[in-house]
Amino acid sequence: MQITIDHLTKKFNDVTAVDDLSITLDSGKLIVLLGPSGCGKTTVLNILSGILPVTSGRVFFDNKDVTDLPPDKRNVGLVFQNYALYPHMTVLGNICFPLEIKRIPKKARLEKARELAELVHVSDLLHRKPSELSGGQQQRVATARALAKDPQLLLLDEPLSNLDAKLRVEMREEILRIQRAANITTVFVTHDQEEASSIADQVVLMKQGHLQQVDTARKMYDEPANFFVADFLGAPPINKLYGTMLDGKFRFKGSDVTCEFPLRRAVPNETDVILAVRPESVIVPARERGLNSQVLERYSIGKDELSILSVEGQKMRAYINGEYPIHIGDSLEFNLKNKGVFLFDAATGERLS
Amino acid sequence: MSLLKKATASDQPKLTIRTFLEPALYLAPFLIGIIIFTLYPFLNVILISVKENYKMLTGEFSALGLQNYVQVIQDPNFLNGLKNTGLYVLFVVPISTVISLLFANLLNSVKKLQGLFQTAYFLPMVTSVMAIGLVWKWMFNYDYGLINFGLSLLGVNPINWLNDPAYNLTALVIYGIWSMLPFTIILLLAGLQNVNPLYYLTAKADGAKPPMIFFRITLPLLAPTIGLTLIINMIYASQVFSELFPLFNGRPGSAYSLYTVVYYLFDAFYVKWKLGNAAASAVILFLIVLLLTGIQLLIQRKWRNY
Repeated sequence: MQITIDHLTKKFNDVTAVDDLSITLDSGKLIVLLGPSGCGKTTVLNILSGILPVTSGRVFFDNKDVTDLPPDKRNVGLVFQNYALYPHMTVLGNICFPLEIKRIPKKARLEKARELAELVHVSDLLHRKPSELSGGQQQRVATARALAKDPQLLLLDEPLSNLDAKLRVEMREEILRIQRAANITTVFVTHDQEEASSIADQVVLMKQGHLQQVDTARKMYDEPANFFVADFLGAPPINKLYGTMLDGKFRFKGSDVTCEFPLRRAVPNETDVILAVRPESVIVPARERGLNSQVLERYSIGKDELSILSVEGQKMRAYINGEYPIHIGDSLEFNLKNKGVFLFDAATGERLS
Repeated sequence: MSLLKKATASDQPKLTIRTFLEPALYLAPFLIGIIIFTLYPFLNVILISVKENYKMLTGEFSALGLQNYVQVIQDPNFLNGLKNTGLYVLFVVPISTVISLLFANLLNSVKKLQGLFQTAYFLPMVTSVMAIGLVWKWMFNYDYGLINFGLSLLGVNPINWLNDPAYNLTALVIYGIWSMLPFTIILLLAGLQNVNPLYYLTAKADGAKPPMIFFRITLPLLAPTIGLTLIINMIYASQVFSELFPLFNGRPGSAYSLYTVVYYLFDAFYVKWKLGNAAASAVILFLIVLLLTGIQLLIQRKWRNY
């Protein structure tokens, strides 16, 4: 089912949680609503589920306007952060309950529940109470319960935040598998960019109620629309080198060293800009005349070394091939790749190169 | 394993006069109070109940035995009191719980002025039993009472609630139910507010209607709280006594037909000066309440659902 959000605005008293949001979410895909806390992503989710009314704008499921429909008329499955499994019912009872509400005969209900339990791998836990389950198991049961009534849309609100780091990685793969198997349009809310990148078909990145970019995680990482997107995606985060424009070139702050980048438009002199460099976009050793730096620190991370360099007095993280011999205190000349290096307007965040 | 044992053994400080006295000192204020005002009287009552022909002023008694119990059990007033107390508990506790459940639910769903409504329902709790009893006495009045006025609107003949012995117990039960409400409502409301609202949200999003949500989600989750209120109210209701005073001018019903166990106890002690009988009736009541509470706890343990 394709979801269209058309000029959606949501206000809580004076606070605008979502401001004029228009997006189309593709059918059968796993879409991640990503953003820092308070960006309005959960508000969007609650509006999709019908829990919250809109202030203005419309929401369409396929071509049907569902803006004024209550949650139970929208046929959506919900999974909350703490799962909200009914503590007095067994796993089987929990999965069956949405079907019981729909007055589906007991036999059909049990059959469906067993089928879903199989899908989410909890078949051997059917007669346990939620309190006897681990976090990961509870999350599986909650997903099965949300899928029980064959929803046309599955909404997951930070479903992995209550799990420990290792289980989180495992469960996000599980959610992807379940989503593929059930072939259901799924909206997944998270603040974790790594989680989003690893499972999303489509990422919707928001900040303070405003849409920043809609794209695949890959494209968003490689071609960020603005500084916020470039800064939000990636761990370790993108390097920020501050400077000003001089005759169409980037000039490091407090230095005469300049670099040239292909600009998208003419930028006046003395404009404050940020040179954003992905840690993996550094070429060492330099193939041509490059920038000079000093090695401040180095850490081994698997096959690579993460080094902290000082470039014209500004700190910068760079991945450097572990076989290349460098020592703390060394001078190091490097080049920048074309990929993963961007120039942004420091005041507006606009992408300039 | 041996290491583990060693660790736990060394964690526990050795019992010396110091390690005993210090905690004992902290506990003392509470313990001394309990010993003087609860434990000693409790044991003394049991002792007195087996002293035959006990004289309170001199402390003399003729023999140790169960004569007091035999006298009490054969006293028609005590048996009458047992019957009335039983009926009172049987009607007041379940009915007040059901009504409280209804009101607690309503209060919980009220969005605006919730504090005001909660205070209003709790107010009777902090008002004197006598004052409220006097108001009820007027409401039960044969000629001018609000209740008979209400009944007359429904075409029912006025009922002589307070002076016709046939209706005395009904009047007492109605008053009892009403006075039980505030405390029960507050307890149940606290229980309701502890239920995670996401359960309701999930059920509602799945299309559950209010009755289904109430019976399948609210009620099971509230079961422990309901069990607690049932036990507390049963213990409280089985001691029904002060409610009699304002309604029937200090008599046990208009024709001395509405004895309750505690009224019997009061009568034996303060009016008839039969301390042994009073003590024996207290012990009997204690055993009955203990038994009923035990049975309820057993039932609840079977109920426990999560």
